[in-house]
Amino acid sequence: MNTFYARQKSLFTVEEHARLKAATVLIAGLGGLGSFVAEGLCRAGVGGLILLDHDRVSLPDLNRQILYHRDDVGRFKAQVAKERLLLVRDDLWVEAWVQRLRPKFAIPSRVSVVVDALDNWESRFILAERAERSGKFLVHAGLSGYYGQITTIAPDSLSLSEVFAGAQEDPHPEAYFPICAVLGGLMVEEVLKIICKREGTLSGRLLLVDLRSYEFELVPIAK
Amino acid sequence: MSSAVKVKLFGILRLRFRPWEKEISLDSPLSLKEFLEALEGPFPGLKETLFSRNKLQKGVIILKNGRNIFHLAGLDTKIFPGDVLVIFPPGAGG
Repeated sequence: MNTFYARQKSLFTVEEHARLKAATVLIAGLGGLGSFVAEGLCRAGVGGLILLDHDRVSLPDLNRQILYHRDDVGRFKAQVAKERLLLVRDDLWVEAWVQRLRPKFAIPSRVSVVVDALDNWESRFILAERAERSGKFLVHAGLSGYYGQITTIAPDSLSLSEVFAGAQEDPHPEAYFPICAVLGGLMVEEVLKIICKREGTLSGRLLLVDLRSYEFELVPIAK
Repeated sequence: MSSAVKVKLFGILRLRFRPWEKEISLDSPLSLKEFLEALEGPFPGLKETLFSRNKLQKGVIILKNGRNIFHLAGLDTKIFPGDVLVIFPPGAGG
């Protein structure tokens, strides 16, 4: 069978494919991580995406942010991302939200999972608080150079600030293609697991990634 | 029960300190501050990376058995034989 999803057909049940098609994911941040997450969820068959980023494409983004090309420099990332994803799948429901995260930010009820692909802790904690208040799963990842972390905050579990209290802003962390690809790919897998209601998510666990030594460490986290 | 505390370093701390994981013998409970001071031997320079003047430095997370010590008793958190300390500056970038 020569369909879009032919090569992943056996990886998901019919019911899971239907869940993916019915799901909408809010991706906050369309940088190194968000680019991979948006592209991955689109290709995996998620029905709807809300793409949130206030920023414009700049030349230093192009070493890792796979949604953008040289011609896109100066354009809003969310708009470029939407156009690119619609070239991949014309049945994708996608909205481009060019805006900053505000403390009163409202997460639409249709959203199934929230993705934290932001680049600063202040916005991450706002997003996590809004996700918690809305009863949504939040998939978080962050990176610095060869290193990064990923976890899932489930509704009614511990909060992002409980895990990362004391974290400090880093205005310009080193970032390159491999760490974005690895963490972004893991975030896609995590979102798919949550939508499909599979076991083995990172809720209650923190995965620490070290690309220098190829070490991946799962750390149990608790309230 | 183990009579040692397992210390694991992650993130960019790995660029400065080796080995990344050590078991530190501990006979009786210590405060985290006392324990970190004792880590100066196996990890020279780590103490000042983690705290100064009785305050934890911003930017480094210390999980004791999966709990952020920020939500326990900070530098007064009791460290017992058998505890696992995970120390890392979380990546802020996205």
